[in-house]
Amino acid sequence: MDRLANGSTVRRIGRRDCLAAVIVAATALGGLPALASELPMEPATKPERLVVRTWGGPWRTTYADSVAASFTAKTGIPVEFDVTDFNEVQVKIAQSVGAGTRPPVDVVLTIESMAYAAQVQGLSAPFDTAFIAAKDELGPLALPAGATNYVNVAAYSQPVVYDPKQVTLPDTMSWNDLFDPKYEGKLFVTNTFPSLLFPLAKAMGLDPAKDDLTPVFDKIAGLKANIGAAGDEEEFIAGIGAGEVSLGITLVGTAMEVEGLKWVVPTEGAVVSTESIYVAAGLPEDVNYWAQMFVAEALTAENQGKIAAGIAETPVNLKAPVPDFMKGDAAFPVTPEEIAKYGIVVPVDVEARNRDGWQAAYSAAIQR
Amino acid sequence: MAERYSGLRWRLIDGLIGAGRILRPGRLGRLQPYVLMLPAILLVSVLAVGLIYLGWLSIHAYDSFLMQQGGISAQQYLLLFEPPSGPFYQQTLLRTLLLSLTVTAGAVLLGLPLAYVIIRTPRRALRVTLLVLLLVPFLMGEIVRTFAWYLILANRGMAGWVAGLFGIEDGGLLGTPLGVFIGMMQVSTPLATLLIMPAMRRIDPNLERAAATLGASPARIWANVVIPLTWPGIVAAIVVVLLLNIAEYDMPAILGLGRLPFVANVIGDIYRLQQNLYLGSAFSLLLLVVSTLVVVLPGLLFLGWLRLRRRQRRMAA
Repeated sequence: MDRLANGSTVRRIGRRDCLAAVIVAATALGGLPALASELPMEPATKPERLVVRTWGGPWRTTYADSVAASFTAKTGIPVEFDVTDFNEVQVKIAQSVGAGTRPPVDVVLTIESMAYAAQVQGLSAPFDTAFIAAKDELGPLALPAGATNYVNVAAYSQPVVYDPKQVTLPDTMSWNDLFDPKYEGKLFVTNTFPSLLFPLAKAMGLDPAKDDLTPVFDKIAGLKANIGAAGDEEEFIAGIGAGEVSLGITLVGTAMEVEGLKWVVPTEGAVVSTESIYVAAGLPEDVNYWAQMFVAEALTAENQGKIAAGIAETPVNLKAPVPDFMKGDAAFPVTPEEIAKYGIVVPVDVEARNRDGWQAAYSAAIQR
Repeated sequence: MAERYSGLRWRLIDGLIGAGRILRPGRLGRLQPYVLMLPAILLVSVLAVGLIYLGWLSIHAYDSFLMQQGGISAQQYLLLFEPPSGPFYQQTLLRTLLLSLTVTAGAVLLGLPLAYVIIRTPRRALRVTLLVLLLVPFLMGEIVRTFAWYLILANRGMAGWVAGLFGIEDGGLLGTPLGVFIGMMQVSTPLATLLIMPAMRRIDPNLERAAATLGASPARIWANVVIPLTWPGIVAAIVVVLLLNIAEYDMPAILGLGRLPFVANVIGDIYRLQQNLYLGSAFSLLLLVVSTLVVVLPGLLFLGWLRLRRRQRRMAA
């Protein structure tokens, strides 16, 4: 340290200081590319609008009021919704990718097994997780292993739902209890296989990833006498309203649309499935950027809370406000511990790879 | 002012006549029939292209997970005929054919007297009223009509209430073949009646009077006069109603509670839930072949029987 004529002091720069400065500068310069790779460069142009494929009803309104509203507020890009059937959208995306033109939708909301299939089929674009502001807030379902092109935005389970005015179910029951003859013609089953196939496989000690599920389909065929109706959620609501069925396997969100229904998660657990969101392949670079921004926006704690309340599905962001009706309910597992205790989670690739054959076998098993 | 408008009107009429002379098909000479057939040829071509495309898909292997078409293969047809899923597809096809045939038979049997009553009703106002009542089912959408039946046939609907009067609990007809039959009959019967009516209208009432004068009973008049002369209408009704029933989607889906699917429902599920357009194409073509055989074969057999009968009569004479 040297003292100057005016009394002030100045520090002499030594070799150690030079070395430290070089290290700091090198670290800073070295860190720049790392920073750049974390957050992609914002493109100079913005699309006129973003088109998001979703389901109709509460999905459309909920996503419009939550993710789309906050996305538009932040970016100024309006969001439009397209409720075309998923299969049609996939065919159109495939045609666009083949022709090198822009797909009719930019972002797709669907179930995870379909999103996984779209990833394998090259119909979705890789998703950069750098867009997600708070990755550490996300639970284990949000970014599953092997998911490179999509994120999961909500989870739902399918327990046994019943009308207490028509039938009484014990608080502790097994999936095997559904075979009781007292439920003859009174059971509703979904027309898609996971809700019944996987719980019965677990009850029979079979692993869908390894074992032949023929015995499970044979067991489902033994349930024919009890199955009064099969279909989508709408058919369950119509069937239980008309007194055709008294109990069924369906989404709790669907059950909540009918007053007075109750539900129970059997001891083996209930299938926990996830809804996913991804960016369509073949988009122009700037559209792809903003579409990824939209996907990330769906994972913020605030929007996750709104989605949970709007469509009665559990959030995948652990910091999201959980609606009161979900708290302490085994049908709404949120934390990893709750999912392990009450949920049956089958690897998505197993479900997606076997969808065609299992669906055919399941359809055959439940029909008269 | 009136003359001015009159002149304008005549100029317009002259213009239209001039345009008609240029455009009228008569100028096309020998090409005229072919030009007039062009729209029909285009329509059939579009349908043919679609069928060829379905046929092309159906003879290829397909991996629905990878969305990849394989080589030429009988894979899709084997799936329709071999276990584990083959019996389900065959059962669905059989259910579709049996219910469709039953509904068609019921619709034609009901349509014959209905058409007769409407045509032979002497008062015009009553005849028109009956005709309008016949058309009422066509004035509403099929989904609305089906859900109306859903409410009537449900356990908590009229069917359940009537069954309850006889001490039958949960006696609704939803999810039963009878429920689907009733729903399909509501559309099929008016359609069959409308198709039978033109042929029946051409019957001279004097023929029936003459038969009655000669001592024929009403049943014999029907059997020997009305039915034979209405035959072209009956055949048209059978073909149209049967083919429409075989392709039915909403009634079996909604009134069958998802447990009595027709082929159309299963094809929809194959596409929507299994994402396998190739298997769906094979099932569509199988249905097309089977339904064509069901319609054409009895027709050919019947024509053969008619020829044989005429020959026998000639020989007897």
